[in-house]
Amino acid sequence: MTAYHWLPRLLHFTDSASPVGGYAHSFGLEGVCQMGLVHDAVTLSQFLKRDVAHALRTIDLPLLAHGHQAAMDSAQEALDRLDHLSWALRPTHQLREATSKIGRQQWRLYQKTWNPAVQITFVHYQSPIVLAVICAHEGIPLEPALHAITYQTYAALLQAALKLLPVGPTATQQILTESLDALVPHLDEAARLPEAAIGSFNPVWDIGAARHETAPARLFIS
Amino acid sequence: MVGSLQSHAQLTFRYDQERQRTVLTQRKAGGLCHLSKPYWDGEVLGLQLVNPTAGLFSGDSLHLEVTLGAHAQVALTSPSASRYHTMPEGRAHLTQTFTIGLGGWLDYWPEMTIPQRDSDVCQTTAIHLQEGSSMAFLDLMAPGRVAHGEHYQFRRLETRLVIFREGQQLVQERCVLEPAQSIWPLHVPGWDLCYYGAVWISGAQAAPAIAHIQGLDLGERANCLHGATLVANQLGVIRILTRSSFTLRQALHELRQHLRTHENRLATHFRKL
Repeated sequence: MTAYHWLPRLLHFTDSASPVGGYAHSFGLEGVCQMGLVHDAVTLSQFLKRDVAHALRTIDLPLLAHGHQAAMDSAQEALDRLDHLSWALRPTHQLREATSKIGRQQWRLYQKTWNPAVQITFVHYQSPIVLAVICAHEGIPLEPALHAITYQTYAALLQAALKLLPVGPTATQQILTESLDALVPHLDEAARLPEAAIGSFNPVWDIGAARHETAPARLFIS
Repeated sequence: MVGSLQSHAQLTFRYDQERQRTVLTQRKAGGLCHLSKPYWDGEVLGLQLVNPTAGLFSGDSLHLEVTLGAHAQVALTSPSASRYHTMPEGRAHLTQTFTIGLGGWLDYWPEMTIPQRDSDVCQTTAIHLQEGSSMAFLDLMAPGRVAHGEHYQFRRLETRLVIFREGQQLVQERCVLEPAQSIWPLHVPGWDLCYYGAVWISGAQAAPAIAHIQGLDLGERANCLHGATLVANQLGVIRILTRSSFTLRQALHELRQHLRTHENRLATHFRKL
């Protein structure tokens, strides 16, 4: 069992009941729903397996990998650079804010409940970098950390989808399983993406997220 | 590659206090990049960047370096669309670096970039903003040479955009399009074609300009999607997707008119025929 000493921490951290405010965000999904581009289980599934998977492979997973290594090396300068890069990679104001709000809350929770001794400050508190630091400090290896952020991302979007679309919990669990299965073979490749190659381009999602900022009615902050 | 061209163009501008106008102080051009005569309209120095081959061929490499000194005000455009010509093998490279000095203004409003059949291009754009500088920077992408029945037939288009202010990174975008694998993400469900445009607005007028654009509908909703956001302090972007080049041109024309109400220097007349 000692090989998995980190597992309780990881399970605790990835619990969707963790009060980090993720439930208040749809990360642009509400925007693309309002544009009519995601409207049922089929289009939701495609959005997760294509758009979200691409964002994970080209942004969040490589950022987590680089951040994990920097935290293991206690390289604060690299962590600061990655925190800033993570912020610069987000295509809209709301998505930048959402990733920082959640990361800041994750860090507060970590310091208050788990490890008050760790004193690190960031400018943006971008959640992939915060997660990387927490995982490194808790001895959580990179591979399970990559699984954790993948699961958290899909689970958060599917929670939002339950409120936005005519899809039920069983259908979302099916989509979650398929999405996770499809991404797992790419985790290693994503983790090895060089820093200069990190980045994405998804104008439909970006426009949806931007339009959501001024939507006359909305359920979610982002 | 035999016959390919490697060019490094450098344009440096400064504000001449004595003459009270922006002047072009360094002009290293030729090869893949030529220049029109500069035209001073009383506020902004306008130039057209001319590519004598109307685009890049396999093995070509163009590095364009544009530097605006303190308070220089420059408008750059191109006379016609730039093409990434058909290249059954090999790759072309375009590297653009723009540096806008203290209180400077850059209006970069080129024509469309058209990736033709089998083209493979790596395009890198870096923008460095100094304190108090501002810009309107247009980035355009077509799905191909549509008038010749070619669309989504290029091999690979890789673009990277980074924006820094005072050395601090504000934006990083990376796009890799390989239509043989998938036309996504340059695709809107229900559209057979998709054109992309992005206008980056920097400076004190960015926030009110973005708020203004957020309240607008540009063009017909069925043929044009757009979203505006203020990504950082004094930096915003308006992204546009359209079903045709004509709709994109109309939307950009309308957008520029609206932006002019916040930034008078966008009144520059490009003197195109």
